[in-house]
Amino acid sequence: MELAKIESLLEQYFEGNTTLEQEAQLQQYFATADLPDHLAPYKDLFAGFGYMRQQKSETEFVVPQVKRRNPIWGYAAAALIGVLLSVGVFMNNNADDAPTLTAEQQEALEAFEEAKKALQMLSGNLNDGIEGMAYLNEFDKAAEQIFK
Amino acid sequence: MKQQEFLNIVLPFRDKMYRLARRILVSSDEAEDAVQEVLLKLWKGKERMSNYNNPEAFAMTMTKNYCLDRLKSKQAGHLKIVHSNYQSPHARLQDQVEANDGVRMVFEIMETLPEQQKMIIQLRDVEQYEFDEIAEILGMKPTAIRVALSRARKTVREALIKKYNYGVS
Repeated sequence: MELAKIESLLEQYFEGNTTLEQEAQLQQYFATADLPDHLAPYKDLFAGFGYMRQQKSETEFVVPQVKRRNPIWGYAAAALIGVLLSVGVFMNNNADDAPTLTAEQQEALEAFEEAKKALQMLSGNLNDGIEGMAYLNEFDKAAEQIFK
Repeated sequence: MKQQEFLNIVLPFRDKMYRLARRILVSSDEAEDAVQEVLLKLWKGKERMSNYNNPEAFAMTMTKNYCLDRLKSKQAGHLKIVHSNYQSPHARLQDQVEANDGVRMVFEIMETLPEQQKMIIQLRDVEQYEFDEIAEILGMKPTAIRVALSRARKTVREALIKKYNYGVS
């Protein structure tokens, strides 16, 4: 391409009036031709755009996966809860077996024991009394024989 | 929509998203993060994606919005962005070892443009989109884009020639 045409294209380029095809022509010209000094800066200009065009992203885009939990963790969690519950119940039972009583409860228990002792004594004496009444039966028998 | 289907739609323009993000945010790490974020949003809204007649333009718009938001919150938060603008441009060009000084100048000059001009140059001169497509991505009128593009190209030219003369003399 002759110089005059390039210079007029360049003029249009800086006015923003060139097409993509014309810009490609300019680019090609400045990439290959032996240039007069006054056009040297444009070689760098178009080369610079060329370098910018070669920059590439180096990070791979990985589509985020929707996390599906392994079902085994569900079972494991259920089993763990079961174990914890049964341990808890067991400990609770142990606690019932060996109650720690308050002073009031202790007092009540003592009173209960005293009452039990007293009632036992009473019932023992009562039984003695009933044994004593056996003689009355003998009296009844004798009376039956007489008043028959 | 299956994972593979989604990737097939998105992968052809993923690097364009990255480059736009990098042009706006400057840092390559932040650009990578931005692309991941936007792709994640697209994936979450993938059922609606078939409604868009141009998923690429939609993705580019989302990238643009996301990056401008990031930039705004950074500027509001502290002055870190000012610093990173001048953070050794050479380190950033490590991946272009063979790039000469003139090309480095172009990169540096690009960073000094206002965001809108930066994006328009990026979309036109780097990604080679048609004006209609740029209009769709940026939500601007094609005529306004031409005006801004012309202004941006002229700014770059002036700065480049100035640097050239300075280098020569």
